[in-house]
Amino acid sequence: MQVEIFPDRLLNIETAQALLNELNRIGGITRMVVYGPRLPKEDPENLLAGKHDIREPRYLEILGEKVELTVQVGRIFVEMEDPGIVEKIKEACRKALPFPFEINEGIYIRTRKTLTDYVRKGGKVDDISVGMFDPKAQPKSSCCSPRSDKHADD
Amino acid sequence: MAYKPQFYPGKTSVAQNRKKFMDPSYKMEKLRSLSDDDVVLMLGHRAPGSAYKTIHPPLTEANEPDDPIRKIVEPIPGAKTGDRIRYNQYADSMYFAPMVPYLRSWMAATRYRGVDPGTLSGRQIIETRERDLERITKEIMETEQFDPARESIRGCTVHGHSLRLNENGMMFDMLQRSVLDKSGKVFQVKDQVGDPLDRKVDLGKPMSEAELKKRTTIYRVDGVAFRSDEEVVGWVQRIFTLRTKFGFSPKV
Repeated sequence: MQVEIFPDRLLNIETAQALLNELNRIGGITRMVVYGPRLPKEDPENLLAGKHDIREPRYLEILGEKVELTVQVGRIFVEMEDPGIVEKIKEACRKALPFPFEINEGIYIRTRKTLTDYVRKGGKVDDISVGMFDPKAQPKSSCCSPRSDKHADD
Repeated sequence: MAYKPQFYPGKTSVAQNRKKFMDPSYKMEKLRSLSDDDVVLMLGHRAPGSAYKTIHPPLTEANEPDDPIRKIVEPIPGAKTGDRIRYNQYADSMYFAPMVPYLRSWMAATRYRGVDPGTLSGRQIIETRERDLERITKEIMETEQFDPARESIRGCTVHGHSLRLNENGMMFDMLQRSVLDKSGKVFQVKDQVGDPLDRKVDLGKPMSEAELKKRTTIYRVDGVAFRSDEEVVGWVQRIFTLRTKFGFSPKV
């Protein structure tokens, strides 16, 4: 079963972290995706101080691991084994979110392999990774670097 | 009996707000003061204090051919002097912003002369001569039709109209042109295309939620619903029906 947590506002990093901390205490969640518009790169405090173009990556801490946050969290997709924990998810949202929210049931993360998984990954995608990578991500540039050109000239 | 334009039908607060914004005889309530340089900075078209660039000689020196229309229509100041045509563009949040893009265009048609308005779903652009544009921009940003949290001047990267608000009540802006500080005031820190300003411009405090709901011109189910205004619905249906029938008229 999958649900979508849909808060009334776009979350700032602290609130998103607080909500994820609460969700991480719940057992039985198999996958989660944070979704939203791209996170503005500059810190508002820097902008008010007249410091522009200072781009510091922002991180979420998930179970002790630092994960770079690139989106402003607007929705969280949660996949769970047991539908009974929806109430626990609601409780976690009530604790962490200072404004109303909605919980919607549906399919938000793919559950089966599609043609893309075979084309891009040769079908080697496990159940956890299905739908968790960007199928449109460009592979790294295959061009030679200028340094390698120099090497060839030598 | 002399014809008196009504500008907009309806009796709800939204309809009345639309009506007064479109009525050129209504004097907008001034909520904040901006200097001329503040406006020039935010527009980003010229450096404050610099001369207006021109695209043709002043009309008095142009030796234009004799034309009755030229005698009837008084040119706007920017056209007289031959200013460049520049633009301003606003994005309006659908969360009870005082203005909506369509109303901006209707208002441009009834209140201002010599402007070319263009409407999109979440933003509206006005093109006109540079000095007239600055005057119009100043009027828009100083008065009740502008709220620094729910509206912003955005020449590019306008995304935000239909997004939920940030936690602090500001409309989402990828470029963060305006920022809310700890004292609750909004400062413009970048011009309309996102280039840094030499100094920040104070836009004042955003309106409260109750104030916004009172002043808004957007119909919303959780505010004033469109269908609750029978007169407006009737007129919209009438115009739609007549326009559709006209489209099938083979004689025209």
